[in-house]
Amino acid sequence: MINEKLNQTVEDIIAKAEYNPKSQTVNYTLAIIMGGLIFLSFVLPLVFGGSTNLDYFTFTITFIAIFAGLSLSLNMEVGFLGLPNFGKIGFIAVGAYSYILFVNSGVNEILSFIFAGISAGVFGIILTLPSLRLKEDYFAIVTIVVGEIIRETVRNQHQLGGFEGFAVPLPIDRLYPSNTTFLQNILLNNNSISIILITLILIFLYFIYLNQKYSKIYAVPYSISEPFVTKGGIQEEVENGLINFTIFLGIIVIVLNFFGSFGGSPNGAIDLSILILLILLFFQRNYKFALLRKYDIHWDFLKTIIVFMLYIIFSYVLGFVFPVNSLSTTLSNWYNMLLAVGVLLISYKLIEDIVKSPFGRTMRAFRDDDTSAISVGKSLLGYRIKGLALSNMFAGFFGVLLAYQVGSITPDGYTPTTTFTLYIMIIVGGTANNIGAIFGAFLIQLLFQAASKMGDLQNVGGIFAGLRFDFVNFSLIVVGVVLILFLIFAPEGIFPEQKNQNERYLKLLKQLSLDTEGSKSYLVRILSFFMSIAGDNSFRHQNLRGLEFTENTDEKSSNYEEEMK
Amino acid sequence: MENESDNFVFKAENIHKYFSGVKAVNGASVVVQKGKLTSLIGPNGSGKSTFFNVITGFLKPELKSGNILFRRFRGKRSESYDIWGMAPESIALKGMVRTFQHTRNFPDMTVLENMLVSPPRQIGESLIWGFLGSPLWKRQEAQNIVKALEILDFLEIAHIMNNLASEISGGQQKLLAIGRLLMTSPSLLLLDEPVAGVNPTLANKVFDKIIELKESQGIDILLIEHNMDVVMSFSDQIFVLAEGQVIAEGDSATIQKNRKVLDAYLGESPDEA
Ligand SMILES: Nc1ncnc2c1ncn2[C@@H]1O[C@H](COP(=O)(O)OP(=O)(O)O)[C@@H](O)[C@H]1O
Ligand SMILES: [Mg+2]
Repeated sequence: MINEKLNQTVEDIIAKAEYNPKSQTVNYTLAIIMGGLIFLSFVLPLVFGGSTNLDYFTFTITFIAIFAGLSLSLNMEVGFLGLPNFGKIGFIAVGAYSYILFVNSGVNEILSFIFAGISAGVFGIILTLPSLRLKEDYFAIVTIVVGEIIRETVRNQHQLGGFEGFAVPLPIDRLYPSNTTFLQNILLNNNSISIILITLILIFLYFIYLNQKYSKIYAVPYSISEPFVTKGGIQEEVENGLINFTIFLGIIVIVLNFFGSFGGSPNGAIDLSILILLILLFFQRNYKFALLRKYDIHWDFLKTIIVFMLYIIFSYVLGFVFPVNSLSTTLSNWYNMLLAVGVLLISYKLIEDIVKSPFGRTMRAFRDDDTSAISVGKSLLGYRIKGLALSNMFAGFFGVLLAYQVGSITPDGYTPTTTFTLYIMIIVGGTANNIGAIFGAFLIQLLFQAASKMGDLQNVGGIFAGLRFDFVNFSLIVVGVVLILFLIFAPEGIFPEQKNQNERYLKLLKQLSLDTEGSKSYLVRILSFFMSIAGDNSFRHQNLRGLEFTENTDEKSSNYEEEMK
Repeated sequence: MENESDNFVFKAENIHKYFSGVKAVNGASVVVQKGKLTSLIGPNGSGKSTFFNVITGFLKPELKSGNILFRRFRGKRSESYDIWGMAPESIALKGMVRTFQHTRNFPDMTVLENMLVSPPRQIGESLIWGFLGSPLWKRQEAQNIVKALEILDFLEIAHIMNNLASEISGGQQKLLAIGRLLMTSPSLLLLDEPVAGVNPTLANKVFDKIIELKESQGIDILLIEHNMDVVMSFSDQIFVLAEGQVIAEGDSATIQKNRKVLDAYLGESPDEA
């Protein structure tokens, strides 16, 4: 009863709003024109008899994915945290160098990969210190210097490889004997089982997707008639957890494949993860778990599984379609690409979740007005430490991937030019927008790769015979002009920041039950128990009490303690 | 036993703050009693805003000669905090929050989202729960949204909740700044010229809301106003600041009769009166 009244009040308030929340405005025309032109220049040399091999595609896609990841990381600092880090390349280098130093001292490759991210993150924390004392522009100058210092230090240290650096072996290279084919490998490793399983699951999913009648069993729509009191608020929450989990599984597959450390069989990892997935599906359908409370599958979850499966299928099918001639390069390129794209997807999901969480909101608040954020009790130091550590952790991960792709780690591979390229990517794509950062990386990388291929056109003869200049340098000029045009005409980029997020908030309000006592999930209850032990009572009194702005959680709990005595 | 000084919610004694020789605040002492709307008035440049900046931790006071106490009542019990030298965010978390003379909101967020930044100890603000625990924070988030909507409604700015904060008028900005503070569940509001630059009709409304907050929510108010006539009618206690010192204190009747106050305001342009 109380809730109904409350819901009515809330609905009345919402109805007062003058405008509906505006959805994201995307500069589609710009996106299509830019993307189309650049894609054309990418395909043209191939069409005209340039080197049309698989390597070229995988190479380009890998570079795009790596740079997309790096620009996501930079975007988090510049776009969301509001800290212009011009020493980004230093953190990429820290990631790559820590990786190779760990590997050379005998640490397992997967662990080294993780440590590399952590090292770069720790360096990010060190960078927090000047950021607290300096204004943004001075901070930017300091970061350039930090990046250069890292490079110069490494160059002059023999223990760190000196100016010659290190070669980076791909773990995949020692996995496949050089005279087997990709197909043989799959069959040799008994992987027909996973292929059959995947196919069956896909058919099953497709079946229930087509037949809404069956899907009713699995999909529970949110109650629309009573928007503020839905009984199954927890459903979406668990679903989200599972989606995250599925994605983590995806990366496990890719990582295990890449490093081949699952019983020497990369495909065994796929079997394992599918097994886990099936077990989970089974339990969540049939049993009440603390974490996986019985709930009905929702479409978003299914979609995630489908994407996950498609990703695996994709890697198989292309292995069939393209004959793998020289395994040592083509196959490792192939896996390098899968790894890069996989890590990019995970990073995107994680960063997007962070940005959309209250943490991300407070990050943007600090960017907009740090004094104001402090005045409502937010800690500037805390947010900068966490933000810089997190974003540079991703820079470290992608730094390792970049080292794989380049094949070596030398100090001169880490010049500030890369940082500026990343800046161009986020400016063109759109700052404070993750899709924009990825799209910018896509465009600029494609442009660079296309330019380096343009030279091939000269061999075609005819009208192209007259083209006699350095296309790589030419591409830099093009990028420069593009940047200036963007800064003048579309300073917000192709995907401008989505400033109005109200649609999301109002949707959340409709989806989640506000009656906390009634439908508080086990998960929340258990966690609130542990958190109250830890002294955090924010969980305990979540019911709404109308217009009591001063309502204080501590007050309630201390009264409660008094009663207990 | 229950005398007045036992009932204070805020007490600052002997505060000094100099800016390269300029004695902006020079030994000011101010007390806010529970349930008494207290105003800090004084001509331009008398050090009111600087005093606020010092007591809320945004500026370091000159010397450890005085002290700053804040007290939060919870039912009949109360808790006192010595907030001298405390970080501004910690003071805010204790329940004593302030606005700025030049209104500061988050311009690239909507009015509603501006409100949602404020609640203290949000689950989703922890990095780990932020991306692994959306089940945990979404529920709390929904409750914060409801609270934000109710406060916006109370302040009569619910109709602009979908606008960006940079798109709303100056008066609405002032109200939003107060709303953002209310989201922190404060016990003491420090308002720095809440109606400066606001048209008289809206200014009256803002004061009505402030009084209503005090009456119905029990939130204590310390208010800076540079135009003394504005606050006379409803202030229970007034402190007059001139050249960084408190030259008079008392209820409005006492202040109006005080010669020193009139002298201090003489330098002001006549249209202020
Ligand atoms: N950050 C600062 N640096 C130097 N001088 C300042 C600063 N802030 C305030 N002042 C000086 O301190 C005095 C008091 O200012 P202020 O506290 O803003 O007065 P009020 O709010 O009463 O109008 C003024 O003379 C002003 O010029
Ligand atoms: Mg002032």
